Amino acid sequence: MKVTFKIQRFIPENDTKPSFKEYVVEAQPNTTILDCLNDIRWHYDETLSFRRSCGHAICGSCAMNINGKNGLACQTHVQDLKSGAITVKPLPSFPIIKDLVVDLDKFYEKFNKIKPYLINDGPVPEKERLQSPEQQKLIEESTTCILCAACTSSCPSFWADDDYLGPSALLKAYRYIFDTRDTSAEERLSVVNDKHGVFRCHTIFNCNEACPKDINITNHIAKLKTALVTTKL
Amino acid sequence: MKKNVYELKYRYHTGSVAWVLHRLSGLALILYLVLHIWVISNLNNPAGFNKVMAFLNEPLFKLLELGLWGVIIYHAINGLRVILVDFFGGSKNQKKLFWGVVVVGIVVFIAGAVPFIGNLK
Amino acid sequence: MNIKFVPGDSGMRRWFFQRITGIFLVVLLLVHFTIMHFIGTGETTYQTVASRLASPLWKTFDLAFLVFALYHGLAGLWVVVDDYVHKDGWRIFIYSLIVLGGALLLALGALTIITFSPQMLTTVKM
Repeated sequence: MKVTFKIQRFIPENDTKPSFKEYVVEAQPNTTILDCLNDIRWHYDETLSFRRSCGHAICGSCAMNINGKNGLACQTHVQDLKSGAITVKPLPSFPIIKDLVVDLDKFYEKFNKIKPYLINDGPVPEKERLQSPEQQKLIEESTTCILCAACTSSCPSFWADDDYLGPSALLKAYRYIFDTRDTSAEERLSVVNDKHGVFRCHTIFNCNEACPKDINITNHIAKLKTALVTTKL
Repeated sequence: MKKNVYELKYRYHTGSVAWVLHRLSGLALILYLVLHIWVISNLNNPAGFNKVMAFLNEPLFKLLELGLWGVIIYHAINGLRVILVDFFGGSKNQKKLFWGVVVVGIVVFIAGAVPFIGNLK
Repeated sequence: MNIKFVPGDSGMRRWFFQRITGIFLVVLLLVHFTIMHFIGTGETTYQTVASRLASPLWKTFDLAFLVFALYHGLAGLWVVVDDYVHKDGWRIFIYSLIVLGGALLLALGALTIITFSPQMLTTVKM
């Protein structure tokens, strides 16, 4: 069947502002948006730019704004969307490099602030540091993030203040703070207890809606807030 | 590059609708609170107080008062939902909780509106 | 990255006390509404208000209501400013207005409640 796409095009060097270009492609209900974008690029308009890699929802490259909602192009099927033209735009609030490709520096720099690596200054054990199943369960969901940036760029608090750590970095902070093998929980909690930290979250839930891995990010952020209040109030 | 207003272009869901309404109702209530404190301060002068009250008994204000009750109900009950999300793991059921807020809200609104309207002369 | 001094704390205390005052307000509100419209006739004249506000119990209730409502409302406003206003000058200015406004409203409301003593409850010309 024929499917119409309205895709935002923008080349900063040439254009003053973004504009939409329409394309019509042949697609089945289970064709993914990424398939359609590739079809457009390979057969209709080779100047269309977008990021993609694995094509099966694990690398996080193809995150974009489809029909007003952030998600992965490779995971969104034509049948998931309401009938009519499909509008594709880049992730909101990041500077556009070209078309659907955005500059994610402001997204990645947040991770450096929360130190996304194991810190354990205790004696180095002979074998692995063990965890019980319950201890592992505590962080399991937070380890599945693919850093696609769909959540942070869907957050109105981030739109209002792009120094806000954002859902993704806060989730990563949770992942280490609640990891029983890590000894720097105190330090990381101090980092998220910042003017641009965890209390910028107003439980808007856009992050949960956008996450392609169905992580309940808001719940993890809530646990950070209660951890802070019970230890520092 | 001029900042786009993403609020107007990003799709709304239960969570973001609840938040926008909560923020707008909160701002409205702050305005009301200021006016309320001023009106009550007229208690220093009995005649003046009754005059202001008579003025506020006009049908327009009674309608606004009913609207105020609706705004308070939404803000209060969604506020309880926020507390459930913040402290009692409510994130897992936030959408169901929102519909609970709507249902309970309508019930309490009617429960309060009936005697209010009944008391009107 | 912003490394110069910017006014603003993390918002932890504000976040916590918003919720505490919120819960108190729900309770106080239910009492207030019940008194006004279920037990009372919903009529607010000097006489009906004065008969309540003369008692120390109601004075305390209303004072608590005032303090919690002002804190909750102004803290809420503070959060909105915190979200959308980024220039230091404007932040300091608006925060000062909020603190000043809050102090004035608290003074006005508290004085009204505390100093209230019913005048002669003769019929007052409307």
